[in-house]
Amino acid sequence: MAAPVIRCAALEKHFGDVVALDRLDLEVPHGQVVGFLGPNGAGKSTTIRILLDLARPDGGRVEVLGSDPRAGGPELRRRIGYIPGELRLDERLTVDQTLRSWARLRGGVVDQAFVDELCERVQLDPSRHTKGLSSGNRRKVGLVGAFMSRPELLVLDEPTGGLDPLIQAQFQTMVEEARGAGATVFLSSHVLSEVQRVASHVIVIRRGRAVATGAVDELRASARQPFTAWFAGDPPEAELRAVPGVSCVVVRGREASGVVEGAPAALLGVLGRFPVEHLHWPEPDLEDAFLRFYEDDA
Amino acid sequence: MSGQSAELLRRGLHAQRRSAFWWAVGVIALALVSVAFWPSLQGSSALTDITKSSKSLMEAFGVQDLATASGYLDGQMYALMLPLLLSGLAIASTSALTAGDEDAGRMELLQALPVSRSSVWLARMGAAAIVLAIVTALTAIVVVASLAPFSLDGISATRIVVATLACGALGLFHGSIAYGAAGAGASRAVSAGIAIAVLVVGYVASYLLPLSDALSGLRTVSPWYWAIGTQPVTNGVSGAWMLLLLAITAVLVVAGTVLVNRRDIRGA
Repeated sequence: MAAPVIRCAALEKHFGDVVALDRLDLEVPHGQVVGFLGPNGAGKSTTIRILLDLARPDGGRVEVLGSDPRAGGPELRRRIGYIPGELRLDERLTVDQTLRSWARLRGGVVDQAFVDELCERVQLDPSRHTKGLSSGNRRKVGLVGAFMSRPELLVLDEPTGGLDPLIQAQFQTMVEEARGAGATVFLSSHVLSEVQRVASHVIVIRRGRAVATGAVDELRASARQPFTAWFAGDPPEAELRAVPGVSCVVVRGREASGVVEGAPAALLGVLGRFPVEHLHWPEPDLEDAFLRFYEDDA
Repeated sequence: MSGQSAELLRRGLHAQRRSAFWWAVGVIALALVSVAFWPSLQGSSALTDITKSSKSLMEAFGVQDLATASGYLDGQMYALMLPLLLSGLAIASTSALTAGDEDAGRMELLQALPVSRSSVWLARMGAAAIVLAIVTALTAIVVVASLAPFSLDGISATRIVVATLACGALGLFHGSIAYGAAGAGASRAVSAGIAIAVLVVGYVASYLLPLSDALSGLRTVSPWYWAIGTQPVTNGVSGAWMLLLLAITAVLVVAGTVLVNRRDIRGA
C-alpha cells in the first residue's frame, strides 16, 4: 500500500481569535478520488491553501506527496493541479494566452493538443477574452489549467460551481480518467450530490476538525433511509415499529412511512409478510448521513 | 534567465503597458515644455527678480537660480517635478504589481504554480524597475537632444544623463518602499500610501526645513538630498550619497522578498 498522498496531523490555523483549523487530522490515500465536505467556513479552503503553501499552518504537520508544502516548493507544486475556490484571472489576457502562460510557468511541459482537447470537452472558446467571462466559464479555464499538465495530484476547491449539468458530467469523466491514469483527486464541496457522484471516499470537516471519514458506500449504508409503503389493508404498525433500526413510523390510512437505519433486510422481511401494493424507496442520500454530523451542533 | 522568470517578467510588463505609456507621455511632456520655454525666458529680468524677491518661496520649490540654463533646468524640472513624477510612477507600478494583484486575488493562482514566491515578487519589482528605466532613459534622451536646439548652453550631456538617472534612482527607492510594505502584507493603498508619505517627508526635509538655518542640517536625512543634492544639473550628484540610497533600496527589496516568504498569500 502506497503512502498517503496527503497527510495532515493535528493541523492548526488561526486568524486572530478565529480558529480555522482545530487539530485537523486527515489522510488521502493514493489513487483515490476523495471528497472534502463541509459547510461554508468549516476550513476546507484553509486546508487546501496550506497544501499549496499559500497559507502556513500555526501548528501540526502536513505532507503532500511525501514533502512538506513549504520545503517542497515549486518542485512539489509542479506535481499538483489546483483550482482555487475563487478564481481570479488576469483580465488583460485571452483564455488561450492565460493557458499558454500557465504552461510556460509550469516549465513548458504541457501538451498543447491535450489543452485544445480539454477546451473542446468543456466547451471553452480559447479565443475569448477573460474579461467578462461568466463564473462558469472562468471555472472552465481553471479546470483546463488544473488538468492540462496531467498532475499526480489534483486539488480542486469547489470545482463545479456555476457549471451546467452537461459540463459537470464531462468533469466527472475527466476526474475518472485522471484517476484511471493513476492520479489522486482531492475535491472540496459543500454540495453533497456533487461529491457522491465522483468520490469513492469522503472526509467531513466541521469547525476545523475532521468529524467523519469513510467510503461513500459505507456512509450510504449507514444513511437513514426514508420509506413509504401502501398496503391492501391496515398497515402492520406494531410489527413495523418492532423492526430493529426502524423509527419515526407514521400511519395514515393504508399508508405507513418511516425511516430505516442501516441494512434494510429485516424491514423487507416484515414487509414481505404483508400485502404491500406500492413501495416508495428512494436512493439513500449521503446528505442525510452527513446532516447528522452537522446536527450534533444543536 | 529561465523561461519561467522571463514569463513572469513578461506578464508584469504586459500588465503595466498602458499606464506606463501615459506616465511616459506625461514625463516627456514636462521635459519638452521645460526646455522649450528656455529661449523665451532666457535673459528675462522678471525671472531673476522673482527668484530674488521671493527667495524662500522659490527655494521651497527647488528653484535657486533661473538666470543660467542649468539653474533653470534644475528649478523647472530636476529639483522637484521630475523626481516627483518618477517616484510616483515607481510607487504606482510597484504597488499595483505586488499588493494590487494580491488584493485582487490574482497572486493566489500564480503562486500555486511551480514558481517560487521570490521569483514571482522579484519579477514584479523587476518589471516596475524596467518601466521606470525606460521612462527615465526616454527623458534623458529628450533633454540631451534638446540642449542645442533650445540653446541650453553650458550643460554637458553627461550632466543631464547623470541628473536624470539620479531622479530615476530616487523613483526606484520609493518603489522599493512600496515593495517592502507590500511584502510585509500591506494592501495596495497602504503600501503606496507609505511610500508617498516617505516621498513627502523627504521633500519637506530637503526643501522646506532648510529654509530655517537651524534646521538645514536635516537635509542630510532626506532621500531627495541623497539622490540629487539640491541642484543636480548645476552641481552634479554625490556618489557617496547615491551609494547610500541604492544600498537602502537593495535592503528594502531583500526585506520585502524575505517577508513575503514568511506569510500567507491573501486569497480572493
